[in-house]
Amino acid sequence: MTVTQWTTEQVLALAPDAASAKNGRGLAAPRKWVSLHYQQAIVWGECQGSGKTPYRTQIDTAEPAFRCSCPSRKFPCKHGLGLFLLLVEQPTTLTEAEPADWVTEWLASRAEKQAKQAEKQAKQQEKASDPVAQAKRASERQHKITAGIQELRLWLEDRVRQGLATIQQESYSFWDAPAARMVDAQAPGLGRHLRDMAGIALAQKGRWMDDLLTRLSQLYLLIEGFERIEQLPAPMQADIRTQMGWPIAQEEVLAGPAITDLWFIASQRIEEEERLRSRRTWLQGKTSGQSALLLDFAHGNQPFDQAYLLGTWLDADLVFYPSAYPVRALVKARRETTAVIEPLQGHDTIAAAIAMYSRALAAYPWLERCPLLLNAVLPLRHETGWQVQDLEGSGLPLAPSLSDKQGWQLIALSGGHPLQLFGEWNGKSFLPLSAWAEGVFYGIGNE
Amino acid sequence: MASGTSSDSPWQAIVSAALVGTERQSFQLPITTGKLGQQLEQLGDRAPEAQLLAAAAIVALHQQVGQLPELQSPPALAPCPPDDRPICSPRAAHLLRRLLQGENLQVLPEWLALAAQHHQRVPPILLPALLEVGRQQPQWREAIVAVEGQRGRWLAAQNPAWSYATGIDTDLDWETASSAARLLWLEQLRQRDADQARDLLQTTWSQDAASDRTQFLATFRLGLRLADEPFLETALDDRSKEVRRVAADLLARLPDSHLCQRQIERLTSLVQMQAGSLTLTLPTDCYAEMQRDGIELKPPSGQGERAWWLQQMIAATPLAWWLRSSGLSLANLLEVAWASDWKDTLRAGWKSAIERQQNSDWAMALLNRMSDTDPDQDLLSVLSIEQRETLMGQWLQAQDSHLIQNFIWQGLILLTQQGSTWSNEFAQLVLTKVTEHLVEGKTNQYWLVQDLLKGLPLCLNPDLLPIANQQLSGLEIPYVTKAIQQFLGTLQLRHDIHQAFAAASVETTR
Repeated sequence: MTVTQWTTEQVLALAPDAASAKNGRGLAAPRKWVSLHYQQAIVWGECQGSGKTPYRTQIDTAEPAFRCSCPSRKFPCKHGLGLFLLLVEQPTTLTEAEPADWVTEWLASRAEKQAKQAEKQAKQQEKASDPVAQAKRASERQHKITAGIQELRLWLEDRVRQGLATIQQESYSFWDAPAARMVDAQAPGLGRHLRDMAGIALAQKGRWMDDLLTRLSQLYLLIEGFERIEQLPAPMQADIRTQMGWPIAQEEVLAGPAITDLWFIASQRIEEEERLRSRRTWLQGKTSGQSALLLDFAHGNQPFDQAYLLGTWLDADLVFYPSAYPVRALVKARRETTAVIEPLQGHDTIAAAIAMYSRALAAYPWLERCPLLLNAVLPLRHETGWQVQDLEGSGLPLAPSLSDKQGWQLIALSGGHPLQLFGEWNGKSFLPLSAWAEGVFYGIGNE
Repeated sequence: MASGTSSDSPWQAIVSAALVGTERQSFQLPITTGKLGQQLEQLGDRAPEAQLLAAAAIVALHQQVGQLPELQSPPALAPCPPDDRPICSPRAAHLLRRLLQGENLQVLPEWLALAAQHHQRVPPILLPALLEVGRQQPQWREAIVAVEGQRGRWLAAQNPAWSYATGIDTDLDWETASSAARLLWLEQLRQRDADQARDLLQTTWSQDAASDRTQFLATFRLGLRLADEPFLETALDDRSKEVRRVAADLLARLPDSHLCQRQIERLTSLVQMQAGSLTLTLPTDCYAEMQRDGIELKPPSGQGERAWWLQQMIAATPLAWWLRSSGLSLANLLEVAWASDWKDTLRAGWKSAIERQQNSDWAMALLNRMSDTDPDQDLLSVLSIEQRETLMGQWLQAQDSHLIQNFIWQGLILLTQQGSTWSNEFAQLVLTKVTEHLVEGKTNQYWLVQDLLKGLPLCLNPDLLPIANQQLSGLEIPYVTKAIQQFLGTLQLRHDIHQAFAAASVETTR
């Protein structure tokens, strides 16, 4: 990614929170900087803070990777953002120069770290492929899970024996206790399902009793599936293990067949839960028409390893996690690419999109968020909330989490003419994640 | 979503059974046709709880997979007509987004004016935020409507909260549009063709609510003329007190009106000006005709009612009459007045009269007489820009940098609120004096400096940015540093906005 392709919006999107973006904005003025230099993809400068010595900030714009001597724990800090903004908006303020000592030091230590990382990965791959150790681990896990599952089956049957009518009075610990035991039994996925159900039972929104029974039954289905897992086809086995919460080693996934394509980075959302940030990036393949989900994680304020720029194209080989409905993928290899002008092809009608969802759900009953690309829909405001309608007259309700402002933005963009929308369908509502209007692409953030 | 379930659908039966519990009521597997029926039958040899849960899983999945989207009637709204104006440049759009996110929102009117000047419109994605701002800040509505484009009008028509922005094209629109839209329309029309605006208002006057009549009549401040008098005179008898008040105030601003003539007649009997002395007699009563002409019966607390009536009469009397009747020059008249027992009443009354009649000579004269107290906002606003700058410049020059008197700061702060751009000379004088004061003096007037720095960036020509940076940028003064940084930041933003539009116009002329 060459620097000239970065825009102000994209730089600000790297900010960890709104305060950092604002402060970074404030530092994007030459008068705040004692020195500003660059050499090829490396940029560095010294920013006068409140202390005596200025802070040293540097950026490797190829990644981008940041480093600053200020004490801030945010990543990238406001100095990094300010420096990057200066580079993008006022490039003439930087002069080419030989890197200072503290710059070459950092570059050297990064190169060293990357070499160590590669070594470590090679060692891990060796370890992972040791068949004896693998088999031993697998059998231990099998025992633990089997015991946990018996317990959960009994718990579920108890619920319907006693009746669900009183369940609305139960507290969170009613659900949390069995969830914790599932985690101990090495089936954290089952624990997550239980905690999701706690959310439904405590919030009591809409037809929650129907939703709760559906989820309970889906959990039951999962347990039954696990108990006869060997008799099931391989993709479904993989799905059941994933739902249990068994991680598949990345090396195993990477060993599978890759799909090479030009992938459009259609949406990106970051969700935070207890100091762990997860980033969901949806890709759409130009030739394959395939949707792919990249899931990345970062702890606390650490940056994500890879950057994917929303609205750009990625020339890459993707490998998909095994599943009866494969969406989650890893990037095996990525290459430089330029922008492509053609629009993406999705579904012309909502009926066609829902038909695809139905097929996916039939193959993968625990499907929660299904990517949909709708070619031509009209955003509308109904008395019940926001909707989209296609040219045949089919309608889909939009997710309740969509803010009023975002709803009006969709209407403003459409001007009464159909838009192309990409988003997630959860069986009840559609969450728009990005839009194309009059040939321009817009990402819809979480507000 | 359409599901077509009746009350004995398999799913409903399962949910009911699950609610009650299998130990209280034995569970019957639902019977139905087709593959679903066959699947359910096969569960028969399990324990009841297992039957229920398995059946639930099968039926739930079956329903979800078979779901079809709901068919709806087509939307009632026609698509938006095409726009004739281009959208502003991406750089300008980005700056607008920053403003709308709350950063230096007070710079918004300037952005809007520049966009209007360049015949550009706002990008559609920013319309909701902009229309929201207009909902909360009525004084910016006219500027917003000028750059919203067809898309903005179309969007506003769909949200009652934005009804002010729908625009009025035809007489039918006038009769059916919201109060907010009509008010905006009147304000614009009064500036273009005041007589037509008056005629238009009269077509619906008798049906409008009192609150609307008050607001609409108040727009006559714009383009006020003698031809408005007959209508305003009838409004003096309106059944709403607020409307009567507005009408009386407007007539008092027309020195040739009958109302002003009536005030002169009343005052003539109460004022004696002879040989260098001035005597006023308090009115004995406040008759109905006086109240009709806008004299309020009840005084503000702490003031006697007869002096209050006299003050109001003075406030509605043409200033030229005082000079004619006394035969004195303005300066001499004020000497006499200040020496008399009636100084306070005269001063208060004259202040209002000056504001109503926009008489800058009188304003200047009064300001000079009051130079050691906080300068008066209303009087300053009457002066022309040059007069204000000359006056403040004189006062400022006379100050020693170590201590700038409070009333000077107050005067400068008031000047920043007048909404006009200062001449470069005056601006540089102020910047230099302020910088000197901050650097040399040990200022203990922090809050005044902060207030000045808050309003200052909107008054300077953005070209002065380099000078401002040079003088103020490195300064670290306790309590003031942050205000300085914000001042420079705001000025920088204004500068960037001007640049963004200037660059765009260069592009289009290539």
